[in-house]
Amino acid sequence: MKGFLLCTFIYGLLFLSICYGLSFMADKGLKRSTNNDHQTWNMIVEGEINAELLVAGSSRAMRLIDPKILEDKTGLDSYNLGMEGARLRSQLARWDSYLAYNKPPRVIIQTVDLMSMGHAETVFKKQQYLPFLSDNNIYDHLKLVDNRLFLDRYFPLYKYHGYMDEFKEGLRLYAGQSPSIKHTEYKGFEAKDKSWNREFKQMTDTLKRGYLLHPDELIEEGFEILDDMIKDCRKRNIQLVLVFTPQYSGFTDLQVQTDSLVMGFEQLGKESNVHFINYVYDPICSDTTYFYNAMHLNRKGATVFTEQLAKDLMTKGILD
Amino acid sequence: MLFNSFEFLLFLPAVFVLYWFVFQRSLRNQNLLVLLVSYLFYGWWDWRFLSLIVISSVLDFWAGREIERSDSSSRKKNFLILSMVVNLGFLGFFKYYNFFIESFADLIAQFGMSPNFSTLKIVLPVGISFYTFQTMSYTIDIYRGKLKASQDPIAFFAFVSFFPQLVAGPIERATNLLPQFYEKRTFNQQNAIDGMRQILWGFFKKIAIADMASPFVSHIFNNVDTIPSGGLVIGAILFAFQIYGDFSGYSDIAIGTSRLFGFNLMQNFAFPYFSRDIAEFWRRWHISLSTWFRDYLYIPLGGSRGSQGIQLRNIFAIFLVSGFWHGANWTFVFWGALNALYFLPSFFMKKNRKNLDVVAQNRWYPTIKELFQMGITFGLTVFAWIFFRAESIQDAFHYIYSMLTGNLTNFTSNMFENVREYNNFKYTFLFIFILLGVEWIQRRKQHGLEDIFDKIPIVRRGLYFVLAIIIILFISNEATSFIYFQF
Repeated sequence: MKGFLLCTFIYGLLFLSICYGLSFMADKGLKRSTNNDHQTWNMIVEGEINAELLVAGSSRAMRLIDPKILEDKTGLDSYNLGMEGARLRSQLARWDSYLAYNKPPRVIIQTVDLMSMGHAETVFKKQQYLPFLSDNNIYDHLKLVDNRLFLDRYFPLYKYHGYMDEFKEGLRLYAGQSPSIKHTEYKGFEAKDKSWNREFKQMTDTLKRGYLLHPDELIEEGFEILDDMIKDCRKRNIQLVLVFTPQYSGFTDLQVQTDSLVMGFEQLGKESNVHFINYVYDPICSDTTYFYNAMHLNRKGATVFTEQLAKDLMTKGILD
Repeated sequence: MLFNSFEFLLFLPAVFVLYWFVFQRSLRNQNLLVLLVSYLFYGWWDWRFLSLIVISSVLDFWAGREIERSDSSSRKKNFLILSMVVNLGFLGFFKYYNFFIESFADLIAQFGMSPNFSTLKIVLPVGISFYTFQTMSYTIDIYRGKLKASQDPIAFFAFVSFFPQLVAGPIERATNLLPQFYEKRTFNQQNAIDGMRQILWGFFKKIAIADMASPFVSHIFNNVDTIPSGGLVIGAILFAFQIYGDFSGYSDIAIGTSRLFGFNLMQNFAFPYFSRDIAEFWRRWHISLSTWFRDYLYIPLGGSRGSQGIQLRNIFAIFLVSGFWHGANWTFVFWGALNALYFLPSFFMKKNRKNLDVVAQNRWYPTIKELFQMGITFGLTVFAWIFFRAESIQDAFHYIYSMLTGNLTNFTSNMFENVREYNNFKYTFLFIFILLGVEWIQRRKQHGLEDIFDKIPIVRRGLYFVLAIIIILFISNEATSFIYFQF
């Protein structure tokens, strides 16, 4: 028995060491990555962003608000922290880690909408977090979304299961090779050169007016997170602006929750003394030439919208 | 509880420690521990169905004693019949009730009547076909005088519910497994180490072969009309490896786990895809079921004695029942019948026991003839698997028609673009290649890693680590069930 236990222990130890080693190398490699999934995270944890005007939110921040235009119009160094598919809980992970490693910005534009307010069932695009799971600023938020994430954090190499491309890319970069994936973002912003297609028509054919995206109790969780964000900003003397970014009017018509949600944001803004700018009823929302799908503006739409946003920030005196 | 779950990762070492370090002094306590953890293992899935195992165990324990105690042969027979009726009654109700009702309704409808039979929403208890057959072997063997009735209820109950093989076999004979519960088990280091190797190989087969092939197989079988014919061929071949990886992987983990506790279970798979004819394939595939039917159905029916008609009946009986054992669907019956047809020519030409040895017994490589024979046998098996996998016989024929009427070399690069695991396709084939390579080297052994590269330890250890890393990197997010659980 002793021999068996010793043998198991030695093999186990060796195996764990190999797994740790491989995981370490892949993590290190990905921390050098400049691809869209990892570059912003890498810059955040290295404290390399330090923007004055920060855009935060989901893909409806990432694809709709161009920091170059904001910089040109406002003169403030800007960066877009928008994350594809992210609910507020995941956005908070990026928000917290940003503030932990970078200078607090003067202004944060936090995009809000029905999707972001919902409760996440899984960690979306988990591959972006792989090298950073040991960072508590990130892990503490994500574990609330997926309670089995502790396996990814504590069991070496396990986090790369199902992510062979990232694992290989990490090892390649660790070995000093050049990245195989091209970077296409500018300061976190990624425009899409796509046109409106039949996707929305197909969706409406299968949906009835008045369908709900998220139950009310799940939206309440979103408001609680927003409340925490507001308090955090107040504590750090950051001016927070909530922005309901444009979405296609036909889509808004389908959501009976939109009006009550807008009222909720307005009320939150008033109570907390935070600006709320609503674009959901803006004329841009009725013109499909600005959209590539119901929730996202294309490059042309993003340019028009960001110019409008910059103008509104200036005229409302938010940047004074 | 699934072998490939996080829970089992904690369960196994905990039971191992309790078994060898806390309860090692008393055989009775060790058996009691095995019984309790087996019920926990099964109850993890659905504790309500534990009652079936308990009822089956109580009945067969009692029936076994009564059969042994009775002087009258009719009384012995009555107890045997009681045991069979109850066990097969459970199986029939939970597994086949709806099938019989629907089939009967279909039959009556052929005569222009429209019967109004209602089916029931019945949950199939996991592993019922396995433990039912295991307990039946006990009472039958006592009736035949081959086994003494158990006087130790704990040992007997633990034998029926032994957790490593409870839900998907191997279907152990009471004559082999039950006596192991009566004797004090001593820890055998070599056995345990080899058990660990077998567990590792089983996990590789389940995770790197079966689970990797599964999404592609599902995609192909669900989209027969849009997949080119070459893709359908790939789908059938992938399913052959999926089911082999899934089922033999489970058996390897079960046998390896048992060895950690000092038990020896029978070999269930002996590298079946290297078979040179169908008879050899059936001596190497799901051995515990094939031999069960041989001993308790085929031989009692007369086996290979009697007229050619009787022999033909017996062969069809064993293959059809074997097919039907797998599930309540005509596809399984058809699959059994097809295998019977494959088997008949060699049987009547008396060549069915030609290939009793291992292919290329004393050589590294097979001859061209052997390679050809293995290819033909594998092709026939893959063809039959289409019926096994299809939802209905019509679907299976549609699959075959679509496969054979198109250009077999026709593939499209976007065939799997809608499959979430698209990027894993190339790895699936790489792992199948590793599986075939390792199993070819090991074809004379009990399992894929037994004494592998024993003269080159560094290569052997390297292989263990490579396999373990593959398992970690490709394990599914959710523990996936084993195909044979549904049988």
